[in-house]
Amino acid sequence: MGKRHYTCTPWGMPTYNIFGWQKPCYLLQDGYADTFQELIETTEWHEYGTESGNPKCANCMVHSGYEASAVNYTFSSFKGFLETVKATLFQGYPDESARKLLDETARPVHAHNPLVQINKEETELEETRA
Amino acid sequence: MSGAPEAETKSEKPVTGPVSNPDALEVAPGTAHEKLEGWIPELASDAEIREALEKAFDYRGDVSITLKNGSKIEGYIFDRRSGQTLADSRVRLFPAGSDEKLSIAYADIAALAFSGRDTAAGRSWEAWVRKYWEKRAAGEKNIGIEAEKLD
Repeated sequence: MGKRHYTCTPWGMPTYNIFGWQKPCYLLQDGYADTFQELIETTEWHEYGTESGNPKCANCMVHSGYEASAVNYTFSSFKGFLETVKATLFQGYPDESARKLLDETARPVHAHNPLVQINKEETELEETRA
Repeated sequence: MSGAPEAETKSEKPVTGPVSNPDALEVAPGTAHEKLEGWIPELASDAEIREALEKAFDYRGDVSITLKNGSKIEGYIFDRRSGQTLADSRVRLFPAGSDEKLSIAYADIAALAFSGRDTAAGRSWEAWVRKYWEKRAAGEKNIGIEAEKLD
């Protein structure tokens, strides 16, 4: 609970598809490895994550990179575990900077930020045609 | 078409390199989408070969590769591995109509052409939103963006 600073753990939730193991995560496509071991050993992990300065990673807080970081923090020390238990059982919010962020008025980044509905085609798919 | 490819739109900012504090950015710099369809790079130097194959890796369409032994392969490049020399740098691709992965050394490539349709051209989020607002300005109701047919 509260504002936390985690670094990205993209290998915590890897993507595998017809091309192989995707480097470094499912949001970025910077090549493929044939095995998970090759993915781990050949990916330049320091080039990714918000802390890397890579613009492609700016503002990313996606679960595939940061959920694993939070889980690792929770279970890698008694401190992390107790903090998680405390945050789960008690809804206290002692982090003043996080409280301040929540109280701030949200500012839209873009002038137009409409929700766009993506429609399914009415026609049948090719493979379902007789 | 040969020579340097053009940027597709002037509004999309090119990547300017690492930023000092990306967490402080409201909007991160995007990637300029180049008009590569039909482009035939010259491949006159090692640097040009590496640059052209990096663009081919980002290209969302098939490319045609002519090898130095005269054979020609058309397919989709899904990976590249840059080594110290052209001999140990490789592109990996699925040839058109095949599910066999091929690996080709940069040193074996004589010519490259961006021959297939660029399926990413005009598919930016900005283009989708612009289309939405054009429809809305025209008075259309129940506006949606139709999914495109697969080739």
